[in-house]
Amino acid sequence: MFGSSGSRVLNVINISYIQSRSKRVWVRKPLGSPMAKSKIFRITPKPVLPEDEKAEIKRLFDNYKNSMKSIRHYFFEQSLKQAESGEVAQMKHRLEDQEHERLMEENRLENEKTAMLREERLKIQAEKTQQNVLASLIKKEGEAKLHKIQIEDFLTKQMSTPFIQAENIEKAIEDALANPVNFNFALDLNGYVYRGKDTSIDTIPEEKRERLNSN
Amino acid sequence: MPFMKGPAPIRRTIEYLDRNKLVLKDRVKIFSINYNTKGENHEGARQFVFWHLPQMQFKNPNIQITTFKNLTPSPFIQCYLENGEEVLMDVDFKSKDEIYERVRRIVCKSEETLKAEDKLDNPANFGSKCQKHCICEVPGQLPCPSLVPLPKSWRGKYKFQKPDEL
Repeated sequence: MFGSSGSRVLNVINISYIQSRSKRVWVRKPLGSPMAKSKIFRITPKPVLPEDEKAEIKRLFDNYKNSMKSIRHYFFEQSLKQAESGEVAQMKHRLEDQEHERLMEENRLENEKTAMLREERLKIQAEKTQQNVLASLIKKEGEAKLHKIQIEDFLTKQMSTPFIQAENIEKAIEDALANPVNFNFALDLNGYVYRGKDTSIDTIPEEKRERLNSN
Repeated sequence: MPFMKGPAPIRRTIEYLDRNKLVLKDRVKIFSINYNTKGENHEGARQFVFWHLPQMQFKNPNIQITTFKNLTPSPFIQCYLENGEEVLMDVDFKSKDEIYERVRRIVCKSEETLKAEDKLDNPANFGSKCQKHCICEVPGQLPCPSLVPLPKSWRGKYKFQKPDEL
């Protein structure tokens, strides 16, 4: 029923290397085999402990565990200390410290070298930026001058146009009243201009007609 | 099989992570590197972080390794040791390989120490990651006491047992 029953070594957990040649040793039931018929409906009674007993057991257990842990930790520290204080360990420490000092010194020198290189690089960069700034300032100045010249030209042009000042105002009003400007005009298909609102075409002889100038 | 995601995914392979010599010394507790994301003088530091930082953390899982970005104008590495000492390494304008060599020389364990500590190589070490689990596996030594019990005179519990005081 449980296969391989002929062999002597069968699902063993703690096998003894001292062989027994007489009996077949039963160590455990094979893992895939079903539960026995007398046992399938068995319900094991769960062990019931009262609460206060459980609490007492837990308290004792915790105390024990704490003490053992602390003792073990203490012994571990002691053993570490012993390892530290030995001759070999001390020499090792001394060598390590020396090595460390040497390496720190080396590191410091490297840092200084890098710092010097950095200083030079920064100096060159500063020079460059200074020159750039100077060049841009000069350019700005030139541009400002040009701008000024342009503005002056514009102003002179504007000044040359006839403005009406405070002195001329009466004369200008009289002139304007005396000479009313009529903006009405008409165009011919042949390109002749007829000014004025009420001029009729027939009254103007042919020679006196204006030609529309394109200016 | 598709390609692995991300830039240079070889950095995520076990073989790459394992094959480096950046095992920091025991006295180093924190390793921090300051660098910027832009700037020519930070290029070496950036490359070092990109290629070698995962390797370093893989070999030193119990050491804090941090990066600080865009805080200072020049890059540097700072290692904080056990006794409060700080090791400052200026890596301005250095290349990735130069930084690697410098870190290895100053704060990492040397080749000899690594070899001596290497459990697998040395047949004198026994344990889980070594060639043999116990000295009882070596032919010519005592057999395992779980199989063949030791003579009572060799066992501590019988040597030191004082039955009259029990």
